[in-house]
Amino acid sequence: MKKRIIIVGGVAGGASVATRLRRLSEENDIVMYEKGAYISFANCGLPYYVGGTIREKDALLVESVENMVKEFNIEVHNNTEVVDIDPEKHIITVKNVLNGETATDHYDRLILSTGGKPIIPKIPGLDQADNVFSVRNIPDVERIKNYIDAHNVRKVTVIGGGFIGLEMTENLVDLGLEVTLVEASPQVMAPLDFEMAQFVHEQIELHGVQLILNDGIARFSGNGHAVVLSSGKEIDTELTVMAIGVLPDSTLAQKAGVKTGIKGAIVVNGHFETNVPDIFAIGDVIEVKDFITGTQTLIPLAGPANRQGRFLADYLNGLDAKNPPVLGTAVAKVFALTVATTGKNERFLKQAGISYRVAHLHPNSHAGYYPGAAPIELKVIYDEQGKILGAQAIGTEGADKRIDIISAVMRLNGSIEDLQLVEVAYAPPYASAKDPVNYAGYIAADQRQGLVKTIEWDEVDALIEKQAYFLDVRESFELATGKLPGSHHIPRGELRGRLAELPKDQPIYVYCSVGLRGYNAARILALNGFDVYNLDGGLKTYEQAKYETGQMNAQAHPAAQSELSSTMAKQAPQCTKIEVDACGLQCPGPILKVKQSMEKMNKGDIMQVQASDFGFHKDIVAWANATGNQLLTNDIVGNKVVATVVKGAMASRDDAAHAVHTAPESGGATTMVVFDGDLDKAIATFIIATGAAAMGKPVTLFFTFWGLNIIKRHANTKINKSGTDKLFSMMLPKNANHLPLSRMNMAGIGPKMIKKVMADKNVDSLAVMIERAKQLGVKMVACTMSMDLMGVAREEIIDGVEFGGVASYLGEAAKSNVNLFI
Amino acid sequence: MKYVIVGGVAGGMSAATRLRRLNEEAEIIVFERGPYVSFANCGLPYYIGGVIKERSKLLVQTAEKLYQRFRLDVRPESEVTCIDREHKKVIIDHHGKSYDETYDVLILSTGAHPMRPPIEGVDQADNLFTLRDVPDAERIVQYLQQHKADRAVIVGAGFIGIEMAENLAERGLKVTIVEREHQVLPPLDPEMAIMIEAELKKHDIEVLKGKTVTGFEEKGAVLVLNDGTRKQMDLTLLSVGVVPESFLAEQAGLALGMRRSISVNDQLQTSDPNIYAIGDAIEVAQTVSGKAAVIPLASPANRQGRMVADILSGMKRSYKGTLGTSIVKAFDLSAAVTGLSEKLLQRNNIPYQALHTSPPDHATYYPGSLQMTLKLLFDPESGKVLGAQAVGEKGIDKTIDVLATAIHGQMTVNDLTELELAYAPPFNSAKAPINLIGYASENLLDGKVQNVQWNEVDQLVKQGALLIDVRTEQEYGNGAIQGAVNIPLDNLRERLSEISKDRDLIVSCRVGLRGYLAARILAQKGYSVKNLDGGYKLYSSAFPEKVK
Repeated sequence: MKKRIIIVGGVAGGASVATRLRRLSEENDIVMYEKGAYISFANCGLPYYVGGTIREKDALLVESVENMVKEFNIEVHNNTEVVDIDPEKHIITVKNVLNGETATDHYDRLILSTGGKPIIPKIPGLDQADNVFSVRNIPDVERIKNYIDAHNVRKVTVIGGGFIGLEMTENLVDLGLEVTLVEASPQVMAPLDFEMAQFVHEQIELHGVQLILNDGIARFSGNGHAVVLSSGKEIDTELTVMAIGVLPDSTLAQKAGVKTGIKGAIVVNGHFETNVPDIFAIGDVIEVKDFITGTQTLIPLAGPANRQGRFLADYLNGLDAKNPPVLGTAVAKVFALTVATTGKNERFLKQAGISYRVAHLHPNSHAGYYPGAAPIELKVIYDEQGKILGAQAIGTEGADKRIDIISAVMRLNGSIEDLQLVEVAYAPPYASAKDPVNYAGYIAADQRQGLVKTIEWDEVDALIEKQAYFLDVRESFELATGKLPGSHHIPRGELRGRLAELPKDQPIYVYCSVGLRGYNAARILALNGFDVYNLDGGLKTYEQAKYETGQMNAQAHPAAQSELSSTMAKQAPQCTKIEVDACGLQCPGPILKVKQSMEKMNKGDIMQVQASDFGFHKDIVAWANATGNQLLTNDIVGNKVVATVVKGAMASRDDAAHAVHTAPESGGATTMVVFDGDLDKAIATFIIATGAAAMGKPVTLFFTFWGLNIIKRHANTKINKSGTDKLFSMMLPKNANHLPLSRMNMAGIGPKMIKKVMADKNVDSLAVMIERAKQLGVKMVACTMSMDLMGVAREEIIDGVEFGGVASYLGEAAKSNVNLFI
Repeated sequence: MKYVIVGGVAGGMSAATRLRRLNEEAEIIVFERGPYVSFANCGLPYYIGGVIKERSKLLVQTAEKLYQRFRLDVRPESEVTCIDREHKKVIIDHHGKSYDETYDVLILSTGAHPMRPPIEGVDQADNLFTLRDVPDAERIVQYLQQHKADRAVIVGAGFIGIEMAENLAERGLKVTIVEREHQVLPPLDPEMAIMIEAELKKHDIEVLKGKTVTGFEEKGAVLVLNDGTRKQMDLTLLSVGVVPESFLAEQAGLALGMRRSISVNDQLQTSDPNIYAIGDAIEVAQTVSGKAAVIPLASPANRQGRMVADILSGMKRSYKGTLGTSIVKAFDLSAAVTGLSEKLLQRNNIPYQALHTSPPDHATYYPGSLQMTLKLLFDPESGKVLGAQAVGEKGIDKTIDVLATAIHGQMTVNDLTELELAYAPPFNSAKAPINLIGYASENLLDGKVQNVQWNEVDQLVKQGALLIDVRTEQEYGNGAIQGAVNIPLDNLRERLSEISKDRDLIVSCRVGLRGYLAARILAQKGYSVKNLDGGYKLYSSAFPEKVK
């Protein structure tokens, strides 16, 4: 018998159910009501339309109203909102959103596909702001685009580090805007675990985004032109995107007495029917069964929504009913990275009290010897029986593929055993003979069978605290990129011959860079009767987990140093430039390659090296610092790190390794007496100071005599002074902005020129350098005796400077191995 | 325990290192005939083509490093010439000197060598090469550097043949491929392989199908084909397949299987309980058919190497079989296959249903989206997936890998619809290619549509069926199957009166989707109708000469 089936909502699930219904039955009336102007649009493409990757709005329209009518014979009412349901009479009331006219319609079956709606909390000041937007539909993104164009927007803020927040961040950066991303929790992308999210944090900061974590929005001020955070921090903004999540849009359903559950999501049975007869629901508005836990949950994703639409149409046409549980496989592009997840993460399992084990690995996306290989950061979580509970993968290539394979294995209720056996297609451009998923299976199986005991990155600090015995089995040259404090070192190749050095009465925690050599070493030690644990994922996972947001400029961008020394390099025409390709090399390959190439170079020669492992961005900084080679540039170009290094341009550090921790090491301090107040000398001072501090060294700057001018306040401080003090004040520079040059001052023209050069070349101004030095914990001491002599009052000195005499300088100097007088 | 391994590449080296990780005390000796161990043999064509620039990149390990790291006694340039099973020892030839070495357990990982058919003049030719190891690759590179080689012939269009064709063409040579079968890439079905053939031709490679080489003249400078054609040639690569290298096993009296491969049980053990064998030299069970097969691929070899070490270390393992997933790059295209092909299903008398789709690799509205051609083979009763093939620019490896996983898990096409694959516009579609082909297969299983294959349509038309092309008038005008009448899908409902119910109908569109929609409309109106699987796109690619 002919039925009238009405669908509320014409996107994703709604469009799927409508077309499938038609394909299965030519006879039924199929009617679609959509509140918006467009049906079946590509909501996942919206951020890319803002960024201009998708140029034409039409590209976002998957099915036009016209096509839906003509090709599928579906009655479509767009711009029409369903405002009420009378379940008894099977009648809905609809309202035309353009002219406000209402009408009624009768249904035999009603399908609710009303989706989710962005969460817009009641934030003080929001009502006064006309520059705050969410991203749900095409008109939303058009408003954003128009606002950016009309107001010549330069500075934007994105609230929320979920998928949409990140995609919007990337696309706004693509537009050349200055973006601040604010996330209230300690990490972006909730499906990831923290240590994995840290790769994303780094990637975001590498692209110049200011990332603020652990801080939520408290209010808007200035008609939306400033965002005030819970911490009190205030961000100037010209436009704000709210992307803090979605909630099921079930208002209509609730009016009709439809039962709702978690966060107002509609509760449906095995064939998507609600508690109200003849009312069905699909998509982001419903609760689904979680594949892993078997409990009800919300998984608002386009894939499941489309699938549910089809399965419901099948059921309504007498085919088998199915409403399969959902794994929640998801992927997002975050600048050069692909971030993909499936199943449950560790954080969830911990909260749910489900026991699990994890394996971290960093395999290449394809054979390392074939061009373009890049690491995939892969994490697999499994239970005691070996059943896979979840997986996370991050990389520039092949991360989505590996998660898809693992997701398929999970669908089979598969185990880590299956991961070993999965036979993927191998040729060098695509994979390795042992694919990353096979490797994950091997590692997990070895863990589970007790062939190797592992510790995780988050157990390391407590063990260091307890002075546990850590054994670093990397090659000596690798230590330059950092090591665990207090760790012992025996290269893996020497291990068998040096077993006598190791303690038998306490556990040994071995580690290498990615976990593989550590595993091999752990096997040797275990087979020789030691109690041994391997650090899962190696130092790479641990170091990444310790990544500190907000430090990018200070630690990894040698901008100030580089510009000065590139000028230096330009003056040396005889130096040669060597290009090194370290792409596709497994850690520590890139550093080894740099070292080997460097050995063939002459002092002053320049090396340009590119690597496909983003970890290289950090490693090269530490390595260059530790080996006395000068890093000129260190940039992200596409999906590669490109760095240039001058051989032997800096004084070499005596200890080849420095701790990953910034904890001070004895004898590693730097002390400088800053006597002169010239601009160039001040710049040099702060370059050295921030450089040393970024390497984890305690730094003390002792400002005396003319050097005091550098740390004077910017604002005019009204202080009553008398006699010579006043005279001195008038004669002395007012603050760091008014310093002369030691040479070529030319009545102040010289300093103006150098400041312009610095600005042109993007070198931080001295004021910024001072601020950064403070952030890095550089200790600044003003000499009280010379302050008295020069007539400088304490109030004139910038905040954060301590006051002391020569004794305090001498005390610090005694602990230092670098002592400079500037 | 003293383990002796014959062959230091892929499986052999996997076995050796895994054995060491499991047994610190064991004595492990690896004999390798060539100068290098554990080299990247799959990278050889790309080294010849200059894509891989440094030879050192191919050399994964050296004997010294393997000793330092794994305490492996690796002996390159040492050929095992004989197995003395009675005394449990092997005889080794090293630079002409012979010695023996005893073993407790012997592992044969002798691989497979390129076939060298006994063609007339083959031994006199001095420009004839095969490609198995680094020295082979070096010989070719050296030859190319020393001789001004312009023209190359590749005999055999399998994986290595295709890769070599691409790489020699990249070096600027004019390449001709001679293939005995009537298609390139015999592991694929012909309608899929033809897309690779087109790609080769697009890059100026001559493809001669159904031809064999019958003789080499003038030291290989002239090649004679079975049709009498003579071709001037500077260099010839023989890549007509590989044969298991089982000489040692055979000599020692071990049981052999098909094509003289070494027979092993599920413990990878030969007929001598102290001798195990792995890799390209052994006979395996094909996972889907369960039948004996020789499947020379790197991944299974590595897996077997690891597994034999586990087994020898007392772990409970058994080798159940090989699926045979493989992939090849041909210029801008990739072609991949897993499980059984239609040809093999026919040969094994296994009932199947074939289905072709042409999904985009990712959402069409996101830039760079490209269509692939995907073929699925499944059991017409149970829906169990039996095999899959894909050809296209992007996403081929991912799609086939997931389908290989599905076959591994004995999934049905219904399971494919439930697979949750990672979706965001740059990576996939909300309905992933695999979900879509699952849906389409379900429709066949549920009887919602009947299909006709690309190679059946002509016969049906000849028998009186009416072929309706439901594409737009413009599409139809740009080229159509001969004899097809055009009724665009959008007008079909209004024009039903034009169509007689007495005739069998075949509907076709570009890739099969609109044809399916039309078939649904017609079937519900009481017509006997079939949809042309793969649509005009597949038909015209398979029969370029038959379309107007």
